[in-house]
Amino acid sequence: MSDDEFQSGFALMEKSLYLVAMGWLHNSEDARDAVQEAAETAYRGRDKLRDKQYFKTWMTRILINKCKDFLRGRRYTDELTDGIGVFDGIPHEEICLMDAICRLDPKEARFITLRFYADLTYEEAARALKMPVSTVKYGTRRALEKLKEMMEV
Amino acid sequence: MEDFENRLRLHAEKVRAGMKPLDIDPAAGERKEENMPKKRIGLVIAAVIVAVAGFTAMAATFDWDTKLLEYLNLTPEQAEKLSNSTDYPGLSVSDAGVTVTVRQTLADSHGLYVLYDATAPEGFEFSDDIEFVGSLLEVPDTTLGTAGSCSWNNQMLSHSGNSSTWLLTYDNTAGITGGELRLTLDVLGCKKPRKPVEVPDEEYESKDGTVKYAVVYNDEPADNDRVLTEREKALQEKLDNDEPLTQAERLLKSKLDDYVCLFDGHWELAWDFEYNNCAIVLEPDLAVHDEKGREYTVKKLELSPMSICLEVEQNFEHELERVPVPSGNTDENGKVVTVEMGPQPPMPVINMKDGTKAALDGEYPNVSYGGYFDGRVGGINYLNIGFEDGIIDLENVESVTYGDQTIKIK
Repeated sequence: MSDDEFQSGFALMEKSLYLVAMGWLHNSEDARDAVQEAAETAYRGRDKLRDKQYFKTWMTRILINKCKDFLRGRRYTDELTDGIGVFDGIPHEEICLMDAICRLDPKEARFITLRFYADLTYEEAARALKMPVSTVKYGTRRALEKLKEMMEV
Repeated sequence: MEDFENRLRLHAEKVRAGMKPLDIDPAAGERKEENMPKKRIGLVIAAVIVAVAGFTAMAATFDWDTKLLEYLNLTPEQAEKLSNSTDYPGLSVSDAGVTVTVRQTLADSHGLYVLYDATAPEGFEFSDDIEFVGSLLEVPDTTLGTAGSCSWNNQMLSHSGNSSTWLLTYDNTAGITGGELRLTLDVLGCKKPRKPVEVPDEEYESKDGTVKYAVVYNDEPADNDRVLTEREKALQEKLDNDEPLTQAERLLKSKLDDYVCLFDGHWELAWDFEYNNCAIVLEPDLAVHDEKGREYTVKKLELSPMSICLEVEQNFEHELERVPVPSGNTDENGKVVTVEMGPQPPMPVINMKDGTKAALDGEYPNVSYGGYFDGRVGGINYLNIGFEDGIIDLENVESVTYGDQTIKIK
């Protein structure tokens, strides 16, 4: 994958990746750092990606690993924190929905963030998470039910 | 649900559109490396390694549930080695006033621990005799009876007031892969009181010269005319209608008669888990002999931090015997289940580099073992052993002795 191809591919999914990282880390600064580090890692290894159609899954997988590294040794916090004002222009009700996603169990939130923030298909999410497709489908359904319930309270 | 999914898609679009630019630069790392003097890179890397090593050692135990650490008697270093094999599901489900929360899982190639809490309503006091009458852990690709054998044990580790902590230990011969785990618990109760002990008038003199009474213990529950619980009624209705019972329901039914129901609930939790399989796998194809001179061939040896699994081929004729299963489980007619059993293969001994040995001879404390025993010549015996009170440090294993042979761990 050439430099230009990587940069343009990354630019298209930068914000989606950031939202996926928010779903894991719940903190805008940490999310930015995780995406930055994932981007650098992927950029260095761009020659290894032979099939460009897997760029989105591959990039997401690297980010997930980075988020896991960030979380190692920390306790999950379920509060959404935006210390750098990335979401200042977002309507309040959307922030509330994002906050609700962050309050889901992290293992469930990832299904929502991959499906809706990263726009991955079930098959792509399964590849990114290294899980069977059926597990991803079941997990997404379960997470959606919980999130819906939370939003109705 | 479709409306809600559309709402989420719209939400993602709105958020992406309203977000401020992030200024992420994928090439920044390469530029930094180009500008950094080589000597300094070395120093930075060394500093990072030192910092990460120290931090990881602390981090590994930071998230561990102290009850699991205490139960397994793990040092911080051991916990660190297992940090990629543990997970913190944090899932909860409530029924009949009791909330069950899965706290932590720990897995290796043949063993699995699930630590969870059960919290009853305020005012209730847990006691040592309380149990989940039905408990079942379903592990990917290893349904009971279809892939080798598996065993599990569900025990209360501690209790305080209306809170209790439990540990389900599971091991199997088929191997554990990542995927979806499903924990099913049914009815929180305690064993019915037995009929009063009968003390006959006859006395006898025991070996130490003291006089004792020939006490007769009854194994019959005191109360057999009680009202059925809701769970029992539902099970009975299914049976009356010739509807098939699930595996969890069959297990529950076989035990309900012996228990007093305290919380007539059904708690079911499913979650995904992953673990780092660091098992040492050897396929020595080595002929060994037991103390009676009978020959076996060790086809495969799989050594993990919490379990050891051997595939052993039997090279001699032996008539199978039908014996009751060790668990004493009964079938639908109330009869104790029996299995055909071949000879008991030798137990392995794990030899450590420091000269100590872990002799797993059945008397070793808190070792559970089991497997699928086949009596045929050429039949494979799977011998699976779970270390329930600690772990084996794989890096310090020198060899494994099996029968009259010792297999070196490379």
